[in-house]
Amino acid sequence: MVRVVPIRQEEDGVTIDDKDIARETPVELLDEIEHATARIRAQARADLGITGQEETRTLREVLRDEHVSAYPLVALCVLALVNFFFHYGFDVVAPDVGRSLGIGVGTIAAIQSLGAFCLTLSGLPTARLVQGNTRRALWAIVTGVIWSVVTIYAGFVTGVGALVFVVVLDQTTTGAADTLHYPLLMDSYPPRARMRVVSAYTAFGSLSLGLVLAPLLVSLLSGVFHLSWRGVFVVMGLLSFAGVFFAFRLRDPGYGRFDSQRVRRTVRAEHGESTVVADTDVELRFFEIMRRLLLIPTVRRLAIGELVLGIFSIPLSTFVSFFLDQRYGLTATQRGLFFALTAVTGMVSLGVFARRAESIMGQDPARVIKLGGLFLGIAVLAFGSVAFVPTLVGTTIMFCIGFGVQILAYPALNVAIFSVVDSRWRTHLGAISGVFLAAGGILGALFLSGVARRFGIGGALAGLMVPGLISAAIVASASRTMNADIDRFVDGVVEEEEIKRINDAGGHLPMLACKKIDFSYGKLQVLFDVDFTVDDGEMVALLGVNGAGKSTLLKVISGIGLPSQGSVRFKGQDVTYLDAERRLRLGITQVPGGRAVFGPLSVVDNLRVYGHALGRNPAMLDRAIDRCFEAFPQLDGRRNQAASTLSGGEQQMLGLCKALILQPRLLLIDELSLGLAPVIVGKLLEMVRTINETGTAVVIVEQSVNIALSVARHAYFMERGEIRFDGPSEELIGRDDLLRAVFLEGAGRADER
Amino acid sequence: MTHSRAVARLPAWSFLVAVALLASSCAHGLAFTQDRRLTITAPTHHTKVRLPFTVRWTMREFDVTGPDGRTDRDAGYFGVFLDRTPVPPGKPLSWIAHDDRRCKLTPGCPDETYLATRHVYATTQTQLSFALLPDLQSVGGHETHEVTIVLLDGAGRRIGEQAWYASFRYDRKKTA
Repeated sequence: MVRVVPIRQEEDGVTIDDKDIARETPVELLDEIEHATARIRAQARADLGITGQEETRTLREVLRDEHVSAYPLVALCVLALVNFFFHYGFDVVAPDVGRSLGIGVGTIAAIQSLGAFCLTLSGLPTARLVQGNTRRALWAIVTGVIWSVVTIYAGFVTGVGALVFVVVLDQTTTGAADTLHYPLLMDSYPPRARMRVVSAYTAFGSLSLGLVLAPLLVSLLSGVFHLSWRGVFVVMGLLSFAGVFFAFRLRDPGYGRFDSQRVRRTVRAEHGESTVVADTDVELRFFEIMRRLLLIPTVRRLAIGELVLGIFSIPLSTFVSFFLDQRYGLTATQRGLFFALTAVTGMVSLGVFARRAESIMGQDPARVIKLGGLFLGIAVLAFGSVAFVPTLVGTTIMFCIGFGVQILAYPALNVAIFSVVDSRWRTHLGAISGVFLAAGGILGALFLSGVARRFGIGGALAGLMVPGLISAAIVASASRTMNADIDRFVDGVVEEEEIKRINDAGGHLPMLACKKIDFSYGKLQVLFDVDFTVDDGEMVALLGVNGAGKSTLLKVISGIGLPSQGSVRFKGQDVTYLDAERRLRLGITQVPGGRAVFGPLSVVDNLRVYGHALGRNPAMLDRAIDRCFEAFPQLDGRRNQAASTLSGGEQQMLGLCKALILQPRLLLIDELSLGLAPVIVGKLLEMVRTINETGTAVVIVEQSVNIALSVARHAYFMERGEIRFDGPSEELIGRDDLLRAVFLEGAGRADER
Repeated sequence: MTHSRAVARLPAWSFLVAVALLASSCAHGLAFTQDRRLTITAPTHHTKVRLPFTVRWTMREFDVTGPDGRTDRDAGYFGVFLDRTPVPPGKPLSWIAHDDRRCKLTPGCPDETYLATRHVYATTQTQLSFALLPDLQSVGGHETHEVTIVLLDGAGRRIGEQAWYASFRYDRKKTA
């Protein structure tokens, strides 16, 4: 970790701010964090390029002002361009390969499908490969080298096995490159240049120029130099190598240099401190990141939009090829020229619109998403209308319009979607996008081949309009959540930085701090804006009627449920999206409601299962089990009996043993007293007190107010998913407006009995 | 391994791979340039044909000796494939039946008739006439067919991996 170097240094080496922090209570510090987040948000958004102002600087000026080189963009464009060669080359020469090697069309189609499958999935291992390290540029180069070698090797294949190897490896590296390039661009360039940079990459790297150069290259090599398909592959592979060699100087820019790190600097500057690169929070694992990303509303909408878009866009070029062949009798070369012409239109439209898109992004990112949806809608109508246009000229014009507009959506949507997530997770996001898009493509191919059989190629093209327009609408709808998600991203960074600052300065934050938690079961929201804190060693009662959301809140804390909004911090670390298993290791243990035992297992086996998290240390586990039997001698006599045969009270005792074995920092107990006799409840409460006295903080969820308030000094009261009371237990007892009928009367009746 | 060290090793590895590939190509006699000894003169690419029609071609630097059992690479005859992929290099036309169990159990199979029903023909001529074309079941009856010609040695095995092809169009009149 790089230490903070305070600007306002005093004699004792503590900043004025630091002194204040040391004096403030946990609640005051949490308030301070919330105020700071609100205060800094506008500046932080400006750090991300969202100033509400028109961008007047040219790209060159922005790069010069930010001291950024154009080399990463050019290098990635070249890598993407040369990657296009094999893909396009293989599409063109596949029939020749089949004739030479005696491989049927069906086999080649199957190999290509296998390749497409690898392309779809390769983003996922790539994201895992670069997770938590800065080797993205290295892997981008390595993938380039691999596909260069693969392209050359394609010129030497002599059988089906080698062909499968070549196609699979090429598509795997292509998928990997797609996943790596955009995050590298996002981290290499400042927000006010990104739309133009990504537009340039789309025009010169990933899409347009490749569509122009690849057919020209193949025509040149086969038509002018009379090379066979083998020769074409070898030359393209060598050219690919040259391109990769050019990109050898590419370096990973690190994560979030122009966004999260910039926001962190703003937070530090707000407190008069010098800039600092803070250490990272507890790291999410691969699937935790994936899950986290899909909980971001904008990401979720755009991912679904991409799924539907895939139905439209992936089969489009194939169907257009067949359409051009069948209706106008265009040869492969003529079709190549047709696509090249549309690609030139795409390059021109990107060149014209990029700067405008940059300005719109700076003013209002939600508008960028809306425009993206609009562009897709227009493109879909243009492509679909091709089925009804009777001439080749008309078809060409409509297709140029469609492609020219559609291509504008890609940089817009890419920059927008990458802007709402932490830079460390962008490769994961790229992988998710690829999977959704390709899954849509597979669905589209299946759906449209059926349509084509029944209504012809023209009918299939017209049929594409339906999923195309639906995808445009879904994409546009993501504009509603875009700004909120950017704010959430900014707030998360600010909050994290503030907490690190407070910790650095010796401030005392609550052990557990849940902030603004929303939680839904499907569409049914059950927690609303819940703030909940527990301090070290504290005993807290969480009260409320059935269905108030108490157990759900415990699930969010223990990791069994994930919130749709808000954060859970444990000892200052963000654990909101951590697996329950990892939270257990951090010291959060939950004793679930009802009888929290494994019925068919014996008592001692239940205890061993609880101790699973202790790892392979039988001696330690045996000692822990002995502690349990000392605490509850009743269980000792039944150690080999099935847990299901125990009484309710004994089962709850067994459940509580989980705490004795794991010795957590925070114990969450759900409905301890449910259905038990008072004398048993008394025993259990005594044990809870003992656990608490050893330093474990306890949250006890109860419906019985008397029981809860007899052990806890601090109480929360929940009603309909909201916290209605937070304060000392004695104060809650005086709140008749809250503790009406259900509790006090119910408790009274119980006492009378 | 650092980025620089890893990248620095890439050219060396690439060189080794290239050497291995060149060595393998020498061993297999792979063709990196187009073989222009045979030219299909009719039908030309994407022209429309009417039945019956004749595929014609010219050949140079190849002795048409017929199936004489010799394995010279510059003498032999022609294998013609209509709307299907040719046999792999080094395989005889009978390879077409390699996955046909019934044919394997029938003495004399595959014969000329068997091959012809599968649109595979052998000839010493530089032309071949067709009275019928396979029905491709295309929408509207607009069909695109493809004829592929390969060289066979005197033993009937395909010489090298060269193949020449032409695609042509045919409008099938649909009967109600």
